[in-house]
Amino acid sequence: MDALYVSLISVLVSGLCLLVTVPLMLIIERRGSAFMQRRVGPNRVGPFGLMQPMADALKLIFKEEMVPEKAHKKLFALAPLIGLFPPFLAFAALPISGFINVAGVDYPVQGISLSVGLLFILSISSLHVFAILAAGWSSNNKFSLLGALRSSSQMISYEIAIGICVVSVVLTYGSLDLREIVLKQQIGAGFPWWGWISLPLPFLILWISSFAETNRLPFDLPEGETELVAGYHSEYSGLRWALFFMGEYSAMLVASGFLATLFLGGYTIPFVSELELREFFTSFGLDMFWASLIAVLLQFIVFAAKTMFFMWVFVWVRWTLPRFRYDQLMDLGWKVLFPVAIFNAMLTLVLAYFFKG
Amino acid sequence: MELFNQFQGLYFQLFIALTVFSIGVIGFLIRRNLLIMLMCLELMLNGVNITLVSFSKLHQDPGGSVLVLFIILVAAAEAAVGLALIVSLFRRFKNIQVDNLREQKN
Amino acid sequence: MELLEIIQFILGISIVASSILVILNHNPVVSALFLLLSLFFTGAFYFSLGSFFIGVVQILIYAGAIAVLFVFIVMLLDLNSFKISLPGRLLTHFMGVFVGVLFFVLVTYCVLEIPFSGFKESSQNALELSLTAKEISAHMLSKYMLAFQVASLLLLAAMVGVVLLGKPSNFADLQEKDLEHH
Repeated sequence: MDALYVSLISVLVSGLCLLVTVPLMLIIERRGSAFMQRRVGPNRVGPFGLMQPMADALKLIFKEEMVPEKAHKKLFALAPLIGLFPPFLAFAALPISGFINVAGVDYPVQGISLSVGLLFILSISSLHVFAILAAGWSSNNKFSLLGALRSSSQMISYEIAIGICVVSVVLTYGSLDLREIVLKQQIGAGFPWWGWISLPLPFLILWISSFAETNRLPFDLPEGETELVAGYHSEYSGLRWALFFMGEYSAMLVASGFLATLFLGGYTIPFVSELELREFFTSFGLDMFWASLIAVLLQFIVFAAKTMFFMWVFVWVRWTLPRFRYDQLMDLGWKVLFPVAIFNAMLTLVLAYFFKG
Repeated sequence: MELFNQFQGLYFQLFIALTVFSIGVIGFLIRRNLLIMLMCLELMLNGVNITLVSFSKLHQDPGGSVLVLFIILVAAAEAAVGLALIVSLFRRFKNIQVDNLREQKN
Repeated sequence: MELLEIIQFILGISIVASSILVILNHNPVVSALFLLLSLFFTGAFYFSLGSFFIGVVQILIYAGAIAVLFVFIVMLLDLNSFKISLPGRLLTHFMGVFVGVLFFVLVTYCVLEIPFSGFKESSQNALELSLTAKEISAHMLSKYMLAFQVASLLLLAAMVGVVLLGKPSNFADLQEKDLEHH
């Protein structure tokens, strides 16, 4: 039963992180886009508009929910929930912070510590396609269906490039376990040999593909406001639309966390290893539990900072770049990213053979 | 039946695999829609996979898991080709009931 | 009853329930989505058994690619949902169900009578004795290398075949279009 409580607590903690970030992203997106467009943005609802997400949530709860007449009622209601579920699972597999020492035993601060975490996140992210397909089809609306089909074909095309980049990442680090990958990016307490230094091309390819995976600009043709009304979620209003957007922001968070873990060193602090941190705090006479707790919190702040950097870039690019046309999008995925990823995989294979014997 | 008490987990897993396989067989023989028949084919392969994985776990032998990987791979290839065939059939006959293939000959 | 056994039990029942719902639905789209659910629960079942790698591969390929393919094609083809029992088919349905149930009963009897032996330590602590990706891949790339290469050739052939089959420029289609013009 002990293991059950531990896993429940870790899953709750990771779910809480996700839930807290979504309102934060709402306000960051609206204020950030306003500053980029030389206007002020919402600043009435609280100090600097920080309570705006609460106002948004209240408004959406009270909005009338319309269901199209000939829509498939059960699937229509279920689709936003299908969209919420994969990001929660995927975020639980990311190593958020180091190890916390409770009663002499080290517990990893990770929702579910899997030995195949990398592939797990990849596989759960590919389930996001079904939420979009279900939403688009059950709306009984040709534009919704078209947007859904476009969106899902875009997502599965870019998943291929991601898969091959993951192959080169696994070749470099020799393990599928995300915590091992994070720890190997530290190499003692010397220069932080982070992922993007040893794997620059996969970094770029994964970064670009994560824009396509989360349907964000410049790849958001399926939900483009000027192209297809609102694509696969045209018929959704009120709380269901809010759930869809929560799903999209959660997927963004998972993608950012994934990038931070693989390429930016995860939760590790550049010149300080976790052991040194703990010794530093126990030298003040603190208990091992409190020392590890402070170390865990510090590393969590570092992880949050790296993830928020990627989230900010998501918002930044959205309000800066124009949208890709659909055939340009597919050309980029199949004719540019896919060959470059294969080339990089072969290059990594050759280099790994020479450097590791 | 004495082995049942010791191998309860194994028997449950085999029971599930067998049930899924039988449901696939029944569905394949009942439904006349080609797409649903393909789905029942996938169900049958799924049942076989569950059997293989549970035996691989029992004997701690990776060979069973390797066979599962190959079955998943072949199922993917076969589903793709089968669906492409269904699409071209649909273009030709405008519906996918298996009975039509018997009546109209090219 | 350990927690792991309870989870295995629930997941097993869910797999069977989703499979039954696949074959009993009138609407092909809902059938495809229940197939997805069944495959996903099978992946979770593999996780509860301790085969993490196979579970992840199942969700990645079966639920994330094959099921997507099915749902795509079902949504692209505008099908009318046909009823299961058309008139005059009752005998065929009965024979189908009979064959399935007979198969089930026979194999259950055979399985219960087989003396299982030759096993390693019992699979009670399922999650600790897990088959890692390293073991599986070491086996695959040494002992089953030929099958591996043949499988990659098979995938290549399937890809080429699918692209060829999907091209709309068939002779039959061209003839119909020419006939329509005149």
